[in-house]
Amino acid sequence: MSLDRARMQWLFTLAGVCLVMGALLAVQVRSRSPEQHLISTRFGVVGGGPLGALSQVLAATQKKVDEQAAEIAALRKQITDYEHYMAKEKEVAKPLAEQLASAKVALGLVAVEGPGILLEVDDSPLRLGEEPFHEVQSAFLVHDYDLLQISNELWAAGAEAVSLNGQRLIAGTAIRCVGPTTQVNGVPITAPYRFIALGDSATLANSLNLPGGVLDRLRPLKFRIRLEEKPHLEVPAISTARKFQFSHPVESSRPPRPAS
Amino acid sequence: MFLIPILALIVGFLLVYNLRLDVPATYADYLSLAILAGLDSICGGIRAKLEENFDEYVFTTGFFVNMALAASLAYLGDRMGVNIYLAVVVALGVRIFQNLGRIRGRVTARLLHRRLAPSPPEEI
Repeated sequence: MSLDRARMQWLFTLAGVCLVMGALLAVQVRSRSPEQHLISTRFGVVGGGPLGALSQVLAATQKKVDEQAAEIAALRKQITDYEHYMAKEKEVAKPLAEQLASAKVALGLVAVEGPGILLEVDDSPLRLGEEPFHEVQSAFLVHDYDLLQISNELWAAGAEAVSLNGQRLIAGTAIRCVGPTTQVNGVPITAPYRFIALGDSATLANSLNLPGGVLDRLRPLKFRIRLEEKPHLEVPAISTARKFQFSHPVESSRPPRPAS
Repeated sequence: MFLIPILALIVGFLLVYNLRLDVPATYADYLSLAILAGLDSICGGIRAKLEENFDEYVFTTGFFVNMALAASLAYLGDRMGVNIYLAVVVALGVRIFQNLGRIRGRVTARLLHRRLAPSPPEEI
């Protein structure tokens, strides 16, 4: 028996090592499961992780955000009502109220309407070869910098209010690429991208169509572009107002010196 | 009897597979190298046993140290920008095949021997 055990000893050692080996194999197989691999390559997620749990958290957070957005809208309406009331009460407060109203338009706190242009930009249907050429295909997709160029052009052409896929663009708005989507005001949006800009519609359209301009560069690559001048358009208010945490108005503020 | 290691392998696999452990994709490459090194150690151990120079301590320490070395060598290569990963894969692959070849040689020799001579010679 003892001799048998001595002869068997190496098998048990081997078994112990094999246990560890099996565990490592399992970890590897799990992290290389095809669907997880696909998801992690598609979204650039390192390691994938428990995606199911994450998506639940996302859904819950999204719900919360929606509720809070509704609350913001209600509160903002209340403030506007108070302002109207105040303006009616005192004739003195009228110029103040007018100033406040234009400041609110500039900050994007109220929805505005007027003539302007509607611009829709979508990815090009062109593709080079087959799927693996991701780098090459990206030339046919609308990127954050395309959107930035368009918004820049619109402001330069005197647009008074601009929205992109329902997101009001204001001075502090960032348009940036996050994974497969673009974020505007922290809200992810996807193609087709729909700009609404209020202003002199002819000027806006002409500046977008400038030779060598932003649309002129996209058109040869067959990007789907629709540009319309419309007499009546509406630009929504910004969903979340900017909070000023670090900067405070200077007490004895002087008007800026004219540039020499 | 010889099923014990295989059973252990399966048990270890199922145990961890159901634990739903996830390794970040950055480390998956190093883990695969460690697994390759472990496989090499196991093959080497079986070969050593068949060649009658098996040593438990050499085997167990070799298993873990080889895994750590393979992974850290690849990591070092990544830091330096040299693809040592491939070198490790090739080296370990060649070793595994050599070990398997020798195991096969030993096993077939034994089987043939047993068939030819019903009473096998005493082995130490």
